[in-house]
Amino acid sequence: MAIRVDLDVMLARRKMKLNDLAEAVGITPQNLSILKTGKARAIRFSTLDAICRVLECTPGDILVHVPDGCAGLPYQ
Amino acid sequence: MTPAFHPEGRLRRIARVSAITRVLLALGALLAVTSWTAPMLVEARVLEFTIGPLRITWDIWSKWPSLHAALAEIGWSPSAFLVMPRVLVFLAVAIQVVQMFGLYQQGLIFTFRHVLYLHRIGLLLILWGVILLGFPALIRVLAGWFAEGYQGYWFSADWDALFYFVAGLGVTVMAWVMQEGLKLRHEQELTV
Repeated sequence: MAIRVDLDVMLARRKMKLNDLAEAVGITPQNLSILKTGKARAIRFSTLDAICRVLECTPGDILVHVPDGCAGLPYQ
Repeated sequence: MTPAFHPEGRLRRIARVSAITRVLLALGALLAVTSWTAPMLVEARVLEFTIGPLRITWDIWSKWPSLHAALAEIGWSPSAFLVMPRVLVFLAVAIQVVQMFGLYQQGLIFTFRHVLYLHRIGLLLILWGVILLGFPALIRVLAGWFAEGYQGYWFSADWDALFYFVAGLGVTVMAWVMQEGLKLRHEQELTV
């Protein structure tokens, strides 16, 4: 997948746990875990809007486009 | 009591009816296989059932009288040749159907295993249609090898064969459609 999800980075910056974010956003921790681990195939705008509002960030802080073949590179 | 329109109520209703259906399917399959294989033991041509005042007579060779005569003439067992393929295919289909209803009984109503069972049923029905269409020709070829100068039965346009073949195609297409539906659901499950 060419989109990397850096949700754990934002969670660490905001010192927030996954379960707390899930409760604040209104989705299950299992669903949020799917997003965090990069297994999600799609994300609704409403969910993205809620996450950005809670973490006080922009979509670009969470979603990073990675060219094919560079998915394993660390966050920069 | 959970109303039938509630999801759990619906699933419970499906499980109950599936359990009854499985039992009836298994009994029906046993009865059908017994009725088809029984003539093999006595090489009977006509089978009779008596259930209370009701008497059912079934000439199992009514569609292929000349084939029966031709096989008997060259010393082969007509019942073994024409009944066993039918029994085996029927049993294979019945097993798939009973297993599929077993999944319904467990509350699993839309999984890739259902697709697998449906696909197998479709292929078996197609195979049975092909066998029904080509069996007399196969018998003639085999008879030609083993019974010198045999000029027997060649081809039978059996409408049952066409029905099984078309039904098999229909079930196979349904399995493919169900598979696409499952992929869409899987995609939906991974949408956050």
